Amino acid sequence: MLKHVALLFLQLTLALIVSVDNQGWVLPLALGPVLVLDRGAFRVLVRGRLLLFLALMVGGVPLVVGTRSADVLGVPYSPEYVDASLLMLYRSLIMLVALRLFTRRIRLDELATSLQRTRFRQFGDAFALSLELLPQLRATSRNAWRAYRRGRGSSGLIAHTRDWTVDFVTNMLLYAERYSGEKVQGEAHE
Amino acid sequence: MEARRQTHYVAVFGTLWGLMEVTLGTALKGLRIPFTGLVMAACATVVILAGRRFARRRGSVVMMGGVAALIKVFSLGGFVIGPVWAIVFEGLLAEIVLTTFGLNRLSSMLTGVVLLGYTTVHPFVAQGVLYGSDIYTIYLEMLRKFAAVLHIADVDLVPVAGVYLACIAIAGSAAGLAGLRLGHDVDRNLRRKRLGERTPC
Repeated sequence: MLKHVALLFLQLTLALIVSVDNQGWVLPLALGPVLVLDRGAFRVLVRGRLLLFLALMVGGVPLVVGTRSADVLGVPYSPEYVDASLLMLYRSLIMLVALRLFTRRIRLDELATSLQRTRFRQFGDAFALSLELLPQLRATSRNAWRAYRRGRGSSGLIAHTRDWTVDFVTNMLLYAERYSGEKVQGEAHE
Repeated sequence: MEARRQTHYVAVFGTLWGLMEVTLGTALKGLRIPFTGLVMAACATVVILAGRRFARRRGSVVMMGGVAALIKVFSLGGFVIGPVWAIVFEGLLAEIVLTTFGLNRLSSMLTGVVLLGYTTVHPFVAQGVLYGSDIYTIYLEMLRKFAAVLHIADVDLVPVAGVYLACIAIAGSAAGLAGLRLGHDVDRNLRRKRLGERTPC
């Protein structure tokens, strides 16, 4: 767990310091571990809107803004904005891939346990409890949604939605209280 | 005992917020419904304020945001950076408002307005973090270029911004009051149900 956090921290630091001068060593250092550990993390980049945005940033922006003092095949462009766009591309690439690698390598329960051992103990406890409650709450919300749809029409939409929400949240709290109580009893028995 | 109770309130409202982001947020985005961010921020306001009625400790809203963000990070839809940061920032902003002013009508309305207002600028904040501050220079340059091409450089945008801010203020205040009311109603319902559980028929 700690090594994944350290790697993420290193990669995010590298994303912040990447520049035209140091890109030669920063990029391999930041993306090399991803190639070794989990190439699947690169799939986070295969999203149409993101690719279009990055393509426009690198290929389009230098043609429109800045002082167009250079040209390629007769098309003038701004070298200053080519550098700026490339840096943005590198930075976003490192950040997205690093965060994806982190979330692919870490299991939720492992994260909750680690948080409970740190200074964020209360948050760790809340998160661990949340994970334990999640399956039941998912089921409760599905049933509640069905009940909501069945009950619609008997009263006004807003009043019905409000009553349903109040009931749903109350039931969730009662379930959490019961679950927590049973857990405490179980721990006391042990 | 009280600490445990506070923890489970944080867990329940954080999970509720996270589930809402995963289900409703993904559905609205998938259906390409406009102003999804504003709708989700209004829903988050309601959950935060209802939750604050129970989890009154300082930092509880930040923790709810943390739980919701982690649920969103590890959800089936994959890691989408924008909404995750939005959840974390929303939790932080709501905590600042509620810690400063306490939980009352005015602070609830203010929380709603702040969260909906933040949602408007969130894409720029998130892009600033992801791409660096150069992105703002590029946006400003592009804006100037297009304004010059379309001859709209001299158009007064103040009335448009004013109308938009008024809409945000109304919607945010309504969401804040709805959250406060929800917390109150759930509290009453909870007491009634607890009493019902304890009283044999």
